[in-house]
This record gives sequence, C-alpha cells and structure tokens, in this order.
Amino acid sequence: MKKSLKFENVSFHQGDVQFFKVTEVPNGVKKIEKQFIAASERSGSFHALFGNYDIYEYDKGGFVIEAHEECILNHSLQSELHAVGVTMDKATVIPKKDHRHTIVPPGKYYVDIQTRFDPLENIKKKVVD
Amino acid sequence: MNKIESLTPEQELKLDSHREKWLSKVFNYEFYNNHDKDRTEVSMKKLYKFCDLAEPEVFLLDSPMACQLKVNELMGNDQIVYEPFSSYINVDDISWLSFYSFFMDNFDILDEYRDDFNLVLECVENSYLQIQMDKVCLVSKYPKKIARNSNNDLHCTTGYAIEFDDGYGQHYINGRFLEKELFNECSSLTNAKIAFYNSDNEDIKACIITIIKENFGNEGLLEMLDAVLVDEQKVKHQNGYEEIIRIYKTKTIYSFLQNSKGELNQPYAWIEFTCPSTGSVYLIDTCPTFKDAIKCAKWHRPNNVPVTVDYTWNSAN
Repeated sequence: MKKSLKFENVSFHQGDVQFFKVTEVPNGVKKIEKQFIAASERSGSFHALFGNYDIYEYDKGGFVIEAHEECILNHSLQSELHAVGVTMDKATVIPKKDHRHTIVPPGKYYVDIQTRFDPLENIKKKVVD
Repeated sequence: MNKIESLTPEQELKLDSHREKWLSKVFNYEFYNNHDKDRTEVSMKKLYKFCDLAEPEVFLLDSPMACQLKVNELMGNDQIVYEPFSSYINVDDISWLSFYSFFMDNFDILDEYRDDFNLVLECVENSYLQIQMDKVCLVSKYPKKIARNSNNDLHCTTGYAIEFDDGYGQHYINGRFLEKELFNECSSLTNAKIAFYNSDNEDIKACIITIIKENFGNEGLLEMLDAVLVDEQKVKHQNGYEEIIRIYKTKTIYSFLQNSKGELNQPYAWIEFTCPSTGSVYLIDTCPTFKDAIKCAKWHRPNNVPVTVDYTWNSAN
C-alpha cells in the first residue's frame, strides 16, 4: 500500500460532503468505528454511509472508505434514524432531511467536507451548517 | 384471508388519484375549510373511551402554539414548558390512513376494521396536532396557509410558509426553519447584509441569499453585498446535471481582510453554488484573487484533493 492518495476522476457529493474515488487504501490510515461523516448540532441532521464498508481516519484530515457493496449515503435527522431503528451496517434509504440519498458503488474513496476561506485568519476551514 | 401479492392494472391506475385525494385534504385545505368543532369534541371523547380512558375536556384551539399556551395555563406554569404533541391522531397519520383507505376502497379484506378506521379518521380530520393529557385533550386546527417549493419543501420568502388562524406561523426557506427575527431582517438589504456577515452558518446564510434573490433579484444581491460579478461558468456534470458557478467580490477593500497569501487590504469574495437537491443558493467565502470560477470551485474541495482531479460530479444531491 502507498502512503499517499491516488485519485481517479470519479467524484460525487451530497451537500458539503464530497467523495473522491481513489485507487487504494493508503498505509498509515487507522480503521475506526462507523460514524457520521458530518453532523449538524443546530439542526440535528447528519450525513452517514449505510452498508458493508470499512472506514479509516486519514492522518491529513478526512476519511478513507472502502465500500464492499453498493452503499447508501443518507442525509437525515438523528430522530429519523432512531425512529426507523436501522444501523449503519445495512444499505438502507432513510427519510431525507434536505439532500436526496446517494448510491455509492463498491470501491475506495477519500471523503471529506467542502471548505470555505476565512479572510480574517487566512485559513481554509470546513463549512458549517 | 388471502394475501394480496400485486395490484391489477386497473387498481394501479387508481393510485395517483387516490394519493391526490388525500394530499388535497391538507394542501387544498379541505380539513381546514370543513372544520367542525362539535364533531371534534364528540370524536375525541369517543376515542378516549375506545382506549378505556376517562372522558376528556376537549379544547379546540387555533394553532399548535395556542395548545402549548393553554396546557401551561391549565398546569399553572409561570413559564412556558413545552409539552410533547401526541404521536398519533394528527396530520402525520394521513400517510397510513391513506394507505389503508386504498385497500378498504378496493378490497373487502379490512371490512371488520372499518368502524375503528372511521373513528380515527374522524379525529384526524379535525386535529392537525394535539396534546393528550389525563382528562384533557388540546386540539390544534389545521393551518390556513401552507406554501411549498417545487420539491414540496415548506418555502416562502414573503411571509410565513405555514400559518394558522390566530396568526401564529413559522418561516421556512427551501425546507429549512428560519427564526422570525432573522426572516424579518431580510426585508431590507441593509439589515440582511448585517445578518449575512454576522452568521457563520452556511445554511442560514443560504436562507438569507435565497430571500434576497427571490425578492430583490440578482441586482439586489449584488447591492446587498456591495459586490460585482467576477466570473460565471456553466459546468455540465457526468450525470447530465448542469451547474452555474459564480464568483463575486466587493467593490470596497478592507484593511483587515487577507488573501490566501496573507496580503492585507483585500475585498470580501464569495463563490456561489446551488444545491441540486433543495435549490438553495450558497455563497461561500473565498480568496479574492480568483478570476476563474472553476479553479475557485476546485480550491474549495477538501484540502487533500489535487487540482488535477476534474471538477465534474458523477452524482450530485
């Protein structure tokens, strides 16, 4: 495995969450428990991938995901997730908050959040909603 | 009893009109216009009895907020404590009532439940939301106005997206709730500008931009921001979806603003994206040195994505 990410020209997004296909899972990444890719404290919404996949923390920021089957990226409310009672292990469409669900084909992806520029601090930050 | 494995073509043909019939009860205000106070009281008392509960005093009120105020008054609260609305006997029940109604209308398998079904329907017809307490039931009438966008999300840039008889309402922009105070700020370009600059939440900023664009046009948006259009490009993505990306910057230069090289005395600058799911327009703060909208859009992708990766989405939601 290589240390750096090698990108293919395949990408998709659901709101500010962006997926970019990569050729392999780089070494040095740390496998973590499935979790929300992004969540809004204000609205209680989240973006999360549902299905059979592994998720790794990338040391330079973001996640690397290896989808072993067709997975579903949902944007929904945490209250909806509790109501339907499904886990992130099952590729399921749950009622949407704002963004339609996205079908994620099997493969390896680099995943992170769109950025904004803060002209007061001269720094790029992840967008917040 | 036989299991229904599929619908006949004739039955499938009835689905659209059946759905429209049920949606119109709320969205064409049939429940609101045919509201019957006496029937509400009788049906709610019947339902409590059906559930082996003591007969309630039924309060029919104009809005969900009126229900909250009344229940707090009855409980003797000095300060408002919001009581949860009931999970059943409200507007949400229309989905499953509609489902079973179709089978009652087209099959004879549910005849034994018809009376119970009708009792629930009678209650729901007059109850948008309700608070069910011991011996007390507080029922809110249906709203007199519901405004939605083409995605059927609650949306109105000129007033409440949902409004009740007593004047209580809520603001929504492309399905997102917006506080009344913030909505009112957007009636003037000056106040909207202050609200826009004071918010670091992109969804709230998108609501402000959407209100200004719909009510004042693009000219109003540029006036609000004191900005000029720097570049505009149309991108056709892999799935056929077309996106217009714009970059703007203010005419004024500010001593305290920097570009990405750390140089001071810069204008404010934004890149405009439109959400393909909701239609919301986002203005994301950007570096003012960009003159090419596509290069700018690439720069706003996550930091580890190189510029050699094309700015074309295979799927965008």
